[in-house]
Amino acid sequence: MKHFSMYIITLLLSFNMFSQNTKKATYSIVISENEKTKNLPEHLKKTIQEAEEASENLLPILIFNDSISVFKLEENTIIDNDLSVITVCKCKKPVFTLAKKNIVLRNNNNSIAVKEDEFIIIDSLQTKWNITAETKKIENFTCYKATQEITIINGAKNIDGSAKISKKTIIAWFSPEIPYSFGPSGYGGLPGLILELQDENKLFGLQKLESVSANTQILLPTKGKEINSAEYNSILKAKSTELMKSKEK
Amino acid sequence: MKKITLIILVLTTSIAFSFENQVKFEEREIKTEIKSGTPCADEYRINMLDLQESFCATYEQADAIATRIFEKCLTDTYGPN
Repeated sequence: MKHFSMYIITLLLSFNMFSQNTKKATYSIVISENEKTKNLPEHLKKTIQEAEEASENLLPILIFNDSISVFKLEENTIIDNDLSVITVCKCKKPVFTLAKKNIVLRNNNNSIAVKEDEFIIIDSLQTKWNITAETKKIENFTCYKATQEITIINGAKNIDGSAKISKKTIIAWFSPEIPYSFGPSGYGGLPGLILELQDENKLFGLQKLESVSANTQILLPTKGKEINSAEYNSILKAKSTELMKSKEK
Repeated sequence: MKKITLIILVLTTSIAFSFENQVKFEEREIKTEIKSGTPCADEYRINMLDLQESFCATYEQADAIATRIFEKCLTDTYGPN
C-alpha cells in the first residue's frame, strides 16, 4: 500500500512538473540490417541503403505540450540525403499529432505527379496498442513495452490477382512518468511519451528531454486540400499513371 | 436437332477462342505498357512495381524513392535544369 501511494504521488508530481511547459525530445535513429531489400534489384538496394546510412546522422525532434505535438527536423539541419528524411525519418514535412482529436496530419512531400504542400494528409492516430507488463529503464524513466500491428495495402497484387496484404509490428517503449501521449513519426496514443520506437529496421531512441519556452508555438499547416492517406495514394497513383502516358507522346 | 448441336458447338468454340485471344491481348498490352515510353518513365514504373511487391513499401514511400531515381535519370539524360 505504501509503495502504491508513493507511486501515485510520484506520478502526480511528475504530471504537475510536465504539464507546466512545452517540452522538446530529441531522438536518434539507428538502422539495422534490412531484410526486405534482399529481393530488390541492386540499384534500388543501393539507393535504400544510402538513405538509411544517411539517416543515422539525423536527430529529429518532438516538440509537445498537453494537446499537440510536432515531429520534425531542427531548423537549418543540413540534409545529406533527401530520401533518408522522407522514407526513414518520415520527417521531411513536420508531422503533427492532435491528442484530443486523435488525428495525425502533415503536408505531402514532393512527388513526380503531385506538387509539394498541395495536400494536408489527415489520418486517425493508430491507437490499437497491446500494452505489456514488460519494463525497462530509458534515461532513468521506467518504460513499458507496447506493440501494434500495422497492415500495409499498397496496390501490389498476389498471383491470383487479389490484393497483397503485408504486415509489420511496431514496438514502442513509453513512460507514464512523462504523461504525454506522443512519440516519433506520428505514433502515439499511449499513456506516456514514447522514448523508444522500433519500426521494422529503424530504431528511434530518446537522446535528450528538455523544457522549451512556454511561448513556443506549434503552428498547424494551413496550405493544401485536406484528404486522408488512402485518398492521397489514389490521387498519386492516378496522376502518375496519367503523367507517364503523356510523357510517352 | 443435329444442326442445333452443330451451331452450339461452333458458337462455344468461337467464344472460347475469342476469350483466349482477349487474355493474350491484355497480357501483351501490359508488357508493352511497361516496356514502351521514355527510359526514365519506364524505370519509374518498374521501380514502383519492385518497391511495392518486394519491399512492401507504401505507395507514397515507393513513389518518393522512384521519383528521386526518375529525377536523377532525367538529369543524367538531359542535363540539369
